[in-house]
Amino acid sequence: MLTPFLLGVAGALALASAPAAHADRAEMYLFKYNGVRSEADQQAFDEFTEIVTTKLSRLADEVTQPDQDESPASHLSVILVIDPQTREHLPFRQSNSDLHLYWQRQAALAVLSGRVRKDQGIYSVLSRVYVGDLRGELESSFIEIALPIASEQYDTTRDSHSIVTLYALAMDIVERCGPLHEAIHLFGEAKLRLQDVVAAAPQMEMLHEPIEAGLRRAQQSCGGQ
Amino acid sequence: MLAVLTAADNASAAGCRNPDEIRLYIPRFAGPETLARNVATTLNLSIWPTLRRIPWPDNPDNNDFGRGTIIWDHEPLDEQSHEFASRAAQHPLVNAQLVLWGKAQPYGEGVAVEVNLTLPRYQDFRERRFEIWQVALPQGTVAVDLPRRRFELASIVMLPEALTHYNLPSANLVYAEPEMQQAIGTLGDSFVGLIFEHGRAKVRVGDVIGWVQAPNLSKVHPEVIEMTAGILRLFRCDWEGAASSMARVISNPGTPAAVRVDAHLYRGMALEQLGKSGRDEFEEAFALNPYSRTTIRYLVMSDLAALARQDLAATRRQELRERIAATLDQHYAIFPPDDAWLDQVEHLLSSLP
Repeated sequence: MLTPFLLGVAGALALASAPAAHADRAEMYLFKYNGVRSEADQQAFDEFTEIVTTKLSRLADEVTQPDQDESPASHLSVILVIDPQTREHLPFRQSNSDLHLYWQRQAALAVLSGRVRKDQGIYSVLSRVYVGDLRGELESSFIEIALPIASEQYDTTRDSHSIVTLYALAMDIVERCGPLHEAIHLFGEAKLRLQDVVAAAPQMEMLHEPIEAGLRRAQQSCGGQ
Repeated sequence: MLAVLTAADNASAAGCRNPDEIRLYIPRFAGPETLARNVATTLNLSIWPTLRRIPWPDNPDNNDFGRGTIIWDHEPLDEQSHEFASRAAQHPLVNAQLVLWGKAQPYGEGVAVEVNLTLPRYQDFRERRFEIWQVALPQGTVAVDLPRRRFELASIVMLPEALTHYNLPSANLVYAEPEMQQAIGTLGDSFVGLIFEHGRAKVRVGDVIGWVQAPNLSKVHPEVIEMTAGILRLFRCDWEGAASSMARVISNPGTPAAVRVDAHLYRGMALEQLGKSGRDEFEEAFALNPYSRTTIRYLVMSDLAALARQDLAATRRQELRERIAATLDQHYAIFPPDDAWLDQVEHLLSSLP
């Protein structure tokens, strides 16, 4: 489901002084990617946005097991960050520390930004997925996914963003001592899908060890309970 | 959640009779109208030949897989979601057990056709539910549901020449003869398939009988057809057919890993229904994803099915019991604390002699 998100002040991020308390994180905030200038650029970005948001909206259906009514992914939503007055989809143009504050304040699962490029007539997209304190064993809180906008990359584009989302959802469960069997399931789904994408998107291999580390952690008792 | 079912009879390895009609519902795909309609029609034509009623040429076990029907709709789903697919299946005029739906999505220079399969669970008034694997022991019956009821298959990438062809309203012309020299009409919104051979089908469109061609959708044969056909066959207790279809899904290098896991589980279950062990298939699924409690359930069900066989030596029985207990013990962490299926299996194990 796409839900427009209203920012406090036009053109700027309204940052509270203290992060909001939250239950589980389920919202992914999508900024307009840089490099979108022409109508053709916009169409390419719109196609990319469509497939990623559609895939993530169905992720819950795919990872919810038949004996469950819902899963941690059931409340997942992708929110386009728009200006409340102009209704314009906004790019992110502030610092990394501002991004972290935004991630905290929104109690976000992840924040997506990036860039669209055109080279010799072929569009490509670079997604920068920020997962904040859910990074686990990742070297950085940013996960970069670079892929051509091409029909042959359709599945890889969808699946790579799904994997990052599953990882973040699982890490959120682990970090808040939630139901660890759910975290194990989501890490397992992420690891399974990783097999499909690493050939076309080798940079996704960076997730292999963090997923394994997450699985080890999820199989231990949480906080001594 | 199917921990216990009241019916305890397994499909006999000596033959199976399906009393129910199994329906696959294919609404028109979303996207550019002509393209989307032609893609869905081709999927329909490709799946329909797999709906055999009886094995041919030999049927030594006197199997009867019942009626298999594809219901075609010239309108897409109201909303592209599993929820809406499930609702559409439950419409009284549809009453389908499977829904194959999707969208032709322009992406980059080409088109990717995303394909989804929804297997709704509802009271559809069937007498038998062959897709639910049950194992009956004197001490009780255990069952497992399908691995998943909502999933996405690999997208079909449209070749440029296929794209051009599928954008034509005349993509599915009906010809007077198999050599396809004289066009006499188009497939339209409804037709009845009569014969399928060598990539072409003989159909009846209203009062007209003719031939259509089913061109390739993609360079790589899409696993969407074999997976859908295989699951349809499971619902109809065509175990040999299901096992064959799933073998082709597994051997297709384009099959996504998540779908491959399910294909191993389905194939293993079909083999078990034929009186063979599906253990190897379940272990393949486990190797792909050891963190799925569905996979663990199927592994345990395989051992329970072995225990249910009458001619086992006592030592073998003990080995199986110990293996079940060890499997559950090693993978306890992936089950929720109040898992009814787990409780039932543990109770059953404790009551075995």
